[in-house]
Amino acid sequence: MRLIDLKLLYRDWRGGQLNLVISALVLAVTVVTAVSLFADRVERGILQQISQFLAADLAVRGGIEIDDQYRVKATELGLETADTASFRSMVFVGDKNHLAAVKAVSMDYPLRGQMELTSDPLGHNVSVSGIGPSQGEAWVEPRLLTLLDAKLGDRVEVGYLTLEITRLIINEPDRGTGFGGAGARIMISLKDLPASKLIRPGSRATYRLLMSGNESSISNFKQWYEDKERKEADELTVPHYRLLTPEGAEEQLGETFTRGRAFLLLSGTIGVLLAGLAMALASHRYANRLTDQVALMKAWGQPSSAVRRSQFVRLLMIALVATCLGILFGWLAHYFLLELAKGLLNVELPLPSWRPWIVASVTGVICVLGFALPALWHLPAIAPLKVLRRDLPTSLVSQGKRLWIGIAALFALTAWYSTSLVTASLFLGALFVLFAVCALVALQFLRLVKGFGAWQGSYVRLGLANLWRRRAQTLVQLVGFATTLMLLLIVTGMRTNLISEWEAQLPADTPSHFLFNVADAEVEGVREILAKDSLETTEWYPMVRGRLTHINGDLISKERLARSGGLSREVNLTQTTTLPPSNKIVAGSWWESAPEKPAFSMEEEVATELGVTLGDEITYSVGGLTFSATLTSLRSVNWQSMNPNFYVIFYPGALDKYAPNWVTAVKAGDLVRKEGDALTQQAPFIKEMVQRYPTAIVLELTDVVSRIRDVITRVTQGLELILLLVLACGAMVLFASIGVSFDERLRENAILRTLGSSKKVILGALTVEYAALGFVSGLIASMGAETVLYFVQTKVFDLSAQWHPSLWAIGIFAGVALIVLLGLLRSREIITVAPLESLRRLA
Amino acid sequence: MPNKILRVRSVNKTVQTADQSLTILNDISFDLEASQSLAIVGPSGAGKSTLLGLLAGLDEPTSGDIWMGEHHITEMDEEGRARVRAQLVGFVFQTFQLLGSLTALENVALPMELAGQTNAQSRAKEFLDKVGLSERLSHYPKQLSGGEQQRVAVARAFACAPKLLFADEPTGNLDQGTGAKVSDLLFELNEQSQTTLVLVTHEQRLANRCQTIITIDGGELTQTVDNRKEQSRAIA
Repeated sequence: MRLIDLKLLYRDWRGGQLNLVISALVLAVTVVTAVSLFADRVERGILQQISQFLAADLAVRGGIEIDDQYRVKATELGLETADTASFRSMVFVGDKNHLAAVKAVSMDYPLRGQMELTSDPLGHNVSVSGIGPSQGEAWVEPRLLTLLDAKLGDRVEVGYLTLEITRLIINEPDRGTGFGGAGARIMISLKDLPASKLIRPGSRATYRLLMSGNESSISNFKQWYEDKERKEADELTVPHYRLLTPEGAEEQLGETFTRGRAFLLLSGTIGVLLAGLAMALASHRYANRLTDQVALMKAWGQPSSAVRRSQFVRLLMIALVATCLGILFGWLAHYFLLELAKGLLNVELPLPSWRPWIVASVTGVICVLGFALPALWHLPAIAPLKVLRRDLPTSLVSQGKRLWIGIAALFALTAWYSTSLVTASLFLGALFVLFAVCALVALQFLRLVKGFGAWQGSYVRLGLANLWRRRAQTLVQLVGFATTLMLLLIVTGMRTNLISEWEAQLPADTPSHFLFNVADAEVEGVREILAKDSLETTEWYPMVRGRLTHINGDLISKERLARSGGLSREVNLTQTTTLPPSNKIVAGSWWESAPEKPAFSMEEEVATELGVTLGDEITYSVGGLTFSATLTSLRSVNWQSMNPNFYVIFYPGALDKYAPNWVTAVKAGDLVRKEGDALTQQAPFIKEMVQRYPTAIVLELTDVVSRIRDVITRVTQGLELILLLVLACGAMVLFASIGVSFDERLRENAILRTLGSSKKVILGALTVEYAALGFVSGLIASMGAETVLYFVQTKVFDLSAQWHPSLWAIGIFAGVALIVLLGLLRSREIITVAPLESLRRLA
Repeated sequence: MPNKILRVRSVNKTVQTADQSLTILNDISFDLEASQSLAIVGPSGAGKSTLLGLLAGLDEPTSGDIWMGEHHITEMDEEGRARVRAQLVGFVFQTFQLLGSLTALENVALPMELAGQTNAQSRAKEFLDKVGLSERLSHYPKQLSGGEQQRVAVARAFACAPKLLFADEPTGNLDQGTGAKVSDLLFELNEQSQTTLVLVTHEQRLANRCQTIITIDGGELTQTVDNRKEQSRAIA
């Protein structure tokens, strides 16, 4: 490397010739760094937790209590064991209540990893513990104190129990994968569980038998478990238990992460594509500027190899500096993403691995090689004679070739990001189709605009004529802007509109509260409480949890069950004589009187997925006991009604012996309340009900909706942030493509000025040109966004379609404002430089 | 023989157009002694600039031979000619060919920096001083007038101490007064540094200041005037 090469680079930069090339590259690297740093840290944070995920070497998990035979076998093999049971329940301090995530643990918990606890409300003085809480104690997550307005030492009611809050949980080894959204956590002793009366048959709870020990005992247990599972496969297809291993969990999550990371990086790829386009255009202009320099260098006797080396050194330095800057900005931007994801993720984030840095650096280098180098490739071959004959043609790398090189670079990056050639091809294919459609629509609009210009005043005509005359360039600008703006509008539209539209379209009598886990004996009491406030409920349904095992005596294969999303795990079963209001019989008939044999009705889609028809006999397993019933009707269910709905309904009697819990929905007034005050405006009946029947669970629809809204808001805000960076790449394209025609514009406007046009006319024409460009971009973006939202509304959310005038207004306004602003900024020299100087400069 | 810096023998240049071959230069031969000055004159399109390009080793003739000093440049490939140019040749152009992103000082220093000379800056300053622009070192070309730009170009050409300086219409873009000043400068520096000057020009007055004038018309060398005799006759 020679000093002069660096000097030349510095002078090019000082002359402003590299601004666009570097900014585009910085942006591309920023987008990719931010996204991959974010994905990497979250992924590693969660994976790190998985290594302690089980708080054991091995665990058996089930929806019912773990059978003793597993414990016996574990003890026999010399394994240590511990037990946990997790479920949701209302907890109270004074008259405040919260639907918490309760975990009851045996004293030996955790077997692996440690609990981090503190007695300091500020979270200092953290100590570690290898044992669980004692009887009478409750350890809680700090935020529960805030929610319940409580402090350490207060007494918390959990079911029929009153416990003292003695410690705060800072961290626990098996708190899960970190995707929160559930209630605040509270940990109690397993010995206290019976007295709480919280768990009764049919309650939804997760039990774990934790085991730890030496490797051979662990693998012996695994072997024994697998053999047993194979044998039992003939008796019961869907086992009540699953064996959890750290490797299994990691494998499963690994796949999720690969997909998540690919999704984020692919959205970043649009940014890389636009930045690449901007770089290619800007590099072309840079190459034009370098032509004289290279011709001179060669006339002075510099060999082609020296020119090539100088070019490589410059590009290498550009790649290096821009990549470093991009990494720096990306590093800052990823904190914004983390901030947005904070509420969703409950993990400690480790430092990132080497991967994001590699991804960012390779992106920088590939962008330079794929987008900038082809535009500059011809320079060393410039004939020295060009110093005398400037008209001598330069053998540029053809536009087609450059396009293919750019696409190849993009494909390489996309394939690498998504680790799949198929995904890369589909994604880029879809993107190019989108671009093509945008371009076609834009071309039609341009035609209209041109026609409109023909009978307008001078500068309007001039501006619109320019748009049409440089239509190739116009289309590049349009497509770049319109697609990014469209994506931004879609994401914003989903965030701001969809949930409220869904809420607005809920019928007026939609229930506001759901009551679960109400015991047989409590139903009357709860009814009375509700009657006092004259609150209406839907029907009361008894509910037990069970699984399907056989169809007409044949085992249901796992594959067959997996086909039906609804029935692949334990499902809620109920019995009733009256057809629920939002259900319609589509085949067979609802029972008018008691059928001769046990009978049931099934939701039609699940029945189709399972491949069962009327008259089939299906065997169910509830808590290990089995019974059979005949399918006598199929129902269509309107899930939007928000009433308690069931896949499977039996004729009354079938479930009696399984001690069901009762469930109902309450209509307690207006559903839509101001956000953020869900806790303070609790419906009055709740307090009395949960105090009298502490094991009952109340779920408020507003809470559920606000939780969904929160998740959607955070996810879409994250995407918006990425898309804003992408939009900046779109702005680069605009800048770069104005640059392509800059000299031509400078000359034309100098001539116009010389011929007597005022500055005002030139400014007017440019404004009209950019405004029309922005208008068409915004229009196309809004059209596209509205189309996508239409499909999301009608197909995904089952809502009736709705126009979004605000979206159109924002789209068109943003398009016009952005493009006029950026366009005039880039063109200010065209307007301000005196005509004589323009001409002299171009001589 | 050793003081012949340029020897041109039967040089032809033809270019192939779509349907015919076009003769630009036909059978050009002449010699030029070191430290002399030569003007190439002739009407537009006569082939003057083409000849200049061939003499400077920027292009290859279709046939014929050119020696630059002892270098038989028509036998060399582009890389070989580049080495010879780096060693012997300097240029002044009609359009100045200053790099817009470089200051006057940087423009003058650039060829020396490229050649790896360590005293590029000081020498550049010295020559800018010689052309009367020591106050404009950090000015960019667009901040300079046409005459000033050409003076920077002249400084750049002489700062490299070339043996042979090729000037293509050096005053072609300047008004008469400025052109005269620039040509004074050109000849003055030529005299001082004993450079051989080859210039293409339309201007008879400029051509008359050269020791030899050759006229090219229709690609042929139609006239050679030895101005030394004319000049000495005039003095006598």
